[in-house]
Amino acid sequence: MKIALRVNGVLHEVDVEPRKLLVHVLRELGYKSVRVGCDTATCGSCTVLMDGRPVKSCNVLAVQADGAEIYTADYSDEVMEKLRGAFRRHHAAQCGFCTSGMLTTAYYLVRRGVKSEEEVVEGLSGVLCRCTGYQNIINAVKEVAGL
Amino acid sequence: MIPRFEYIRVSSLPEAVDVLSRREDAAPLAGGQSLIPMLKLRVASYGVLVGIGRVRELRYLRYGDVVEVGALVRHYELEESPCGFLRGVAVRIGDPQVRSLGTVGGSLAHADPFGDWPAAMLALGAVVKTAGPDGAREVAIDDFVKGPYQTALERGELVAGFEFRCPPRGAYVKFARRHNDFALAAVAVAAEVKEGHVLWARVAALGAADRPVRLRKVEALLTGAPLTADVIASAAEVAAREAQPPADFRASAEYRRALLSVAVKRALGRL
Amino acid sequence: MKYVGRPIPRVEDELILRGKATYVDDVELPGMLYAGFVRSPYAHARVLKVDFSDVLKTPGVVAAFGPGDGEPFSFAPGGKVRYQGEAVAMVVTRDRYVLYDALEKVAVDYEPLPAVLDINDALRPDAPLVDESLGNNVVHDKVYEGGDPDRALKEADVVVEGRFATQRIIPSAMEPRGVVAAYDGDVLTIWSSTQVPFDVRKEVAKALGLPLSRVRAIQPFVGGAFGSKLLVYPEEVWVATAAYRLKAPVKWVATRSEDFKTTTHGRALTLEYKVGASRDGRILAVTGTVYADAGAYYWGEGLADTAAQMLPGPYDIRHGRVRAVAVLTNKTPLSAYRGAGRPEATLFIERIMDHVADVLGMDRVEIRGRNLIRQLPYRNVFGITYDTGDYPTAFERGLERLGYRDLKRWADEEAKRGRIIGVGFSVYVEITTFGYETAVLRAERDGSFTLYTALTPHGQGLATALAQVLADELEVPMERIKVYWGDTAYVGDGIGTMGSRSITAGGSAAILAARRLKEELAKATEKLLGCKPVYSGGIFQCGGNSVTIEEVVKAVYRGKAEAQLTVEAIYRADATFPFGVHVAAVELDPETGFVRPLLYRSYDDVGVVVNPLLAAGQAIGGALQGIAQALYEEAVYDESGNLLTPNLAFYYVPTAAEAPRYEVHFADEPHPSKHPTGTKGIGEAATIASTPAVVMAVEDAMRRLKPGVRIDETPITPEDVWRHLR
Repeated sequence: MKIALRVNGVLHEVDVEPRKLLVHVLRELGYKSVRVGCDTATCGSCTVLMDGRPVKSCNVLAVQADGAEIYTADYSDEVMEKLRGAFRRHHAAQCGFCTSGMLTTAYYLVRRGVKSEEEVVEGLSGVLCRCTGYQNIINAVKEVAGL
Repeated sequence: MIPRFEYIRVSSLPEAVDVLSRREDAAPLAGGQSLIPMLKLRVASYGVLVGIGRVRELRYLRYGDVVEVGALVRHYELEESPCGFLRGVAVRIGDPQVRSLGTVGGSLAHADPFGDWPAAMLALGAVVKTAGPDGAREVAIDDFVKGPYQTALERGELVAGFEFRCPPRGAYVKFARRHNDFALAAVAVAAEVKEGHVLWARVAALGAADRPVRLRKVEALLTGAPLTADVIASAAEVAAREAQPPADFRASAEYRRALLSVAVKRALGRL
Repeated sequence: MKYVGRPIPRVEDELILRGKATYVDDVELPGMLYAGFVRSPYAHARVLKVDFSDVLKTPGVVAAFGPGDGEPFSFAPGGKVRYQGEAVAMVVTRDRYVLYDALEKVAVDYEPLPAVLDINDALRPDAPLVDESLGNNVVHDKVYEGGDPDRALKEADVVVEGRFATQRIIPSAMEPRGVVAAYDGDVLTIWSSTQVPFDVRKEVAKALGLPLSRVRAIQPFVGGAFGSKLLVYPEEVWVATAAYRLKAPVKWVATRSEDFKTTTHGRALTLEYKVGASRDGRILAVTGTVYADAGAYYWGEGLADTAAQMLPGPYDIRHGRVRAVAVLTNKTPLSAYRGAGRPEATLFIERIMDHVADVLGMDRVEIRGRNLIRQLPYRNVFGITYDTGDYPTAFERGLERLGYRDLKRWADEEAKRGRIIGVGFSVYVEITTFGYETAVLRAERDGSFTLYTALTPHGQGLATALAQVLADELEVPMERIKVYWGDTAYVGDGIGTMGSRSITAGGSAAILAARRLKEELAKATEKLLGCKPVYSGGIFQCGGNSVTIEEVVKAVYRGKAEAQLTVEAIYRADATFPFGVHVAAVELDPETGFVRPLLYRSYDDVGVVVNPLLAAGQAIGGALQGIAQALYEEAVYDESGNLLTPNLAFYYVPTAAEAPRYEVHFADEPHPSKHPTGTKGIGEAATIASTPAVVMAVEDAMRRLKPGVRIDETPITPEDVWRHLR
């Protein structure tokens, strides 16, 4: 089935099998930041923004995403660069495997205007991290969100 | 990875019903948040998935005297609902990403024994609207959830939406090991209280049976009773006795019983 | 010193934060094929027949390998499988979606056998044998002894007996394992999500009969390991063999469910103890047995032994006898998991201290003060010599700095308001570092330096830390140093990143290499300038003349002087011993038993801290894993050997919502190790200290409601708490 995806501002038209997951299509299109960490849609490493909301791209068929506007952690704009800077300064990444999911989710939270540490924690609760213990990630997002 | 299937995207309800009635091996795909994991783990397999995500008729959300929620309303849309009870349930479903895509209709059709929306709908006394080859039906929620992962939907039928009144008071108390997990036990209460007395109450529970159920003995005790600490304590006790919790590696029956009792107490305390 | 000691953000983040870090699943090669495995649903079964006739007819399937294929394939050795998830066959296809269709087409006839899931069952004389070549299921049995424990027990005023069991943990690194292998007819290259590319290279070379010089193993970016990737797995050899035979690149990446069953598990040690103490709280003797639930294959050698040998901890216990027993069961094999025997040792001895304190009616702080080792170096009763430190001062300062007594007072105040808060602490010493490590350092002709390390970082930030260490040793700006890791083309052999050894072993090797390089360059300078030069800040000076490193290097390349511009150092890194005190506070919901970790504070003496930002990251991340062991995680099997917690939905790796607030402190007057770096390692310390601190905190909370309650296993689940309190 032919679908169109606008990823990080770039339009892609691809022909995909219905069973193909969005995460695999994105990776095949070169957006390698999107990662697969589990098979129960629990870990959130695959999180991207789809039509403005964070979604687990491993839990979406590419055909469902036809016509969607998607942003991945490969993306760059002022907010994303602020987040990268904050992640770096706060040491919010260790092995880096969850970092894409954390960045896209954080991007969503900052753009939406998250208002408290509690909201940041709630917002990030759908991305698992095994390395950092979360505190530095939370602090990095709080800084960019002005909390 | 997922087994092969045919994908038919529909943009109207009649189209959806048509495909679902003609093909025995067809299932509707809304948000996919429950269905796709099952496909990935190969515990379910279908010949056809009918993509109903773009069926506009099912996306309505109207707040009047009666709240009308279309089947394709996504969980996140109710996180800031003017109806407090709905807000309290929506924020406890899955995690933020799941809430972006998962739908209320999908949740009811899936009828997970520990599904938050099925319990909430029971407490709301919702009417489930369906659409099928023989037309539209209205099924009382009490008759809709028939067992674990089993509903009253017939072949070719879809959940179209829900209707209920936003309860004047309500609360959802959920106990889970991690913040976003499925409940070990949960209680949803919807009620009207006037001059300190309970006019009516609907109490639904997860973990009290092999499916979401109403705790009718608790409801009976509460109806007409003053909402005092003593009454709440009695209600909690009755809940413990009324429940027939399943035991699994996540929790024993005994412990679920205790959790249900506490959940009833806390939910009533929040009214 | 300009760089060591400073909280410098990581150089690795440039790639990681842009999504450009290459993990094994990012490796794409033309013509790449996809491999997958048919795995046993049974915990114990004979494999009677594997039928490929259907699968080989499936479009897209390129090959299938099974028990009938000889070495180096080794499916179902001995004709049987010993744990749920053990591989029975391998299928190679052109497409990763077709792969999973194809795996279902392999027909396997199993004859299920009775399975042993419990150590007690496995130890019965009539137990089914996991390994039929052994007479029983005991695969390792060794006694560690020192002093005269029997006499000490006789002379003790009190003898305290008990048992503490730790659960099976699934390490759950965020990246599941994966391998890519490619053979161009000359060189076999293998990428693996591993901590041990040198071992992978050796095993693959051996399996294929290739010389090491024609096998290259690459460790790309690895999404976490925690000890679960420090052995060579069969899949690495099998995927390499498939690539070799099929003459096409082959990739296998585990699904999470697959990874859960096939990547080694951790912990699962139980101690039965009998200790003797004097009336005034001195522990005179510690005796007992540590049992390791080793799983189906004894891949995790030494775990029970480490727990035995480190059982005395930071305490002056002069008599002891501990037996280390590893028992086979029909479960996923056990191996190292962050701490690898030391978290268990610390948990055991801290619980013993509390148990004896209870029996003697003594305060938990006081009993530890009575027993802490006062003079270092100290040889413990099982022959382990702790190097440098001051435990009593660290204990006192740590408790004070972390506000232990303030927290206890606060908990008392909150209790009046109906909040049940528990406060706990732990004291530990741990053993890090072992073996040797290799560093290869090259001076470039523009005055920059290239370091090839045999370390295998997977999140620690070692490329940054090593650059800091080298920058100070070479007295040049850090930007002039580039550190490469994870490729056997760079370095011939080494051990890798594990056991909290990296900064010490790898950093010291780098320092030695830098010193050697400076000597070499000085020799060349002497030739060029005609006098023995003095080196400072990148410049050699003597007799009123000076040359920069750049100029020396260029001169050597032009044959004007001789020097080794690439030097190798192999550093022997003996054990060293970090120590400290950690404190935890939890809140208990008495009606439901739910426990919430509120805060976690650590005070560690790890010797020199090269980078406090990165070291704190290790302390925080390590702490949450130990907290999770105390409260959340457990791999659960049913009586048939089915893993009931088969994926991340049912296995409770904590989310951000479960994490406490952390506060990390490092000792103000640290005791350096004797290594050139002066470091002792930090990677595992917090995981070692956190479980006992949280267990004590939970017990403290529970005792507000029911005095005398004792926790004797981890995890302590809400239901466990609820049962204790009834």
